Amino acid sequence: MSGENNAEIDKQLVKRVQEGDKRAFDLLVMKYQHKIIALVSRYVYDKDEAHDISQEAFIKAYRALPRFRGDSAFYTWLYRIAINTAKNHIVSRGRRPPDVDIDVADAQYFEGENKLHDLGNPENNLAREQIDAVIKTVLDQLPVDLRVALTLREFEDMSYEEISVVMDCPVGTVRSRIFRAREAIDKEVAPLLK
Amino acid sequence: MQDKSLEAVSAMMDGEIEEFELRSVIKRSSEDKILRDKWQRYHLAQDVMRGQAVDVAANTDFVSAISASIESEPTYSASAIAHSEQESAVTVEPKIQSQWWKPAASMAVAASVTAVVLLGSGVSFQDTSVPAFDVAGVPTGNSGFPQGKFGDNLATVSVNSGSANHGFSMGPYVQRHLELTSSKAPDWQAGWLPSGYRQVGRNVSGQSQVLLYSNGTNNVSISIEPLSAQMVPQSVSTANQLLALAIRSNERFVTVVGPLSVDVASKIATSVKPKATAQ
Repeated sequence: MSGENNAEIDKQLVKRVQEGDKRAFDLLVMKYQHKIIALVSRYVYDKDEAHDISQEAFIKAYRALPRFRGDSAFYTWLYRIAINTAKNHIVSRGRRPPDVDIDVADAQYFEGENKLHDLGNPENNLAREQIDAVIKTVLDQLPVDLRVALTLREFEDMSYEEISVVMDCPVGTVRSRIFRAREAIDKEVAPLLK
Repeated sequence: MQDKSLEAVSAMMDGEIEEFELRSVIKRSSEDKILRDKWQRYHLAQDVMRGQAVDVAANTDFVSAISASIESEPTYSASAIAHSEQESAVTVEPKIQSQWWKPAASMAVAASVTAVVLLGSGVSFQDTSVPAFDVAGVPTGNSGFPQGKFGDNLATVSVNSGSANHGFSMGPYVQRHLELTSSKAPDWQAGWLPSGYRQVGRNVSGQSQVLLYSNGTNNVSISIEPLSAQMVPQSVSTANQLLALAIRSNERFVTVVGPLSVDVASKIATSVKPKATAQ
């Protein structure tokens, strides 16, 4: 249910871009940059090359937006563009693309196995592990109301309304708790990214 | 104040934001670095928490490079998009070949409505990196219809758009329901309505017409349009006691809005006939 809300926000942002607001596209780039780079990195192992291909994919997506009608989710469409851009890039370099394609439906979440977290870049993997550890520490230290609200949202994918029922509190309180939990995490994560 | 706008950013991540807040966040995003950084870092933390792969090195430079490239690209307008869609619809018949439509195509069909058709889009691209179509992946509810939402054209309507159902906008139909005014006499009418309802309003615009019925307590509107004027897929959406149901019936696209059940709304919709043959 909440995933639908997320897709709806994407749809609204796409609509803004289609109506002439380029700033909305920046928000989509910020939202999906990590996922797209990670996806492309499964085809191209060089970090700079992966960044270039990912940027190209976003620009292609922008150019094609007038013809995106929103019948499918934006991220599905974007992922397909990224995969095709990566494969075209490999072919243009005289290399052979992988025999087994990445299913777009599965590409949204690279969870489960460590190798899927691993972008083949030790520095990146270390940074990711540090962030992961910090988040876990902050979560452990959060007041229980904040921790429960955020974990129901992030791990159970519950909507605010569903969380409000579970926690027996108003939706506005859920929204505030999730925000405060995110802020607590962000306070510790931000220094790691500088 | 800053906290409130950042709280909106957090809610926006979860798709739990009102339209006016969304507009505000987008507007501020170009000037407010704190807001942009939060949006970026919140997503990074979310991806890490959910065990997804992230590239920590991707930062504002990555976004800035794309933003700079896009600066030299054309700025789109709604009319250009509509023109593009029209051209696509005329020139290309979509081939339904994606997995995304299959669950919807095989779902149960509600009551008297015999079929739900999810509309694929007809788009083609010269760039082979870009998918040649984006096929409907509209979620469905128990009714068997894809779930829409009352859209963002409802600034003057006190309808709670924060429901969990999302997708296309049913707003134009609800808007018609609420702003109904009579003009030319309609040549279509409902062949069946719950007892006590009588016509109290009408609006005819070209080949489209809207009929308003009331039982003194509740109002029901019926929009009847040529299939070529159809703005949404066959669908149903609910919010605050109002239900909007849109189906193809009798060579027309019929949308019923009112405080109704799906069964009653679909019975009304399928009963719509030209006046000469209405029973």
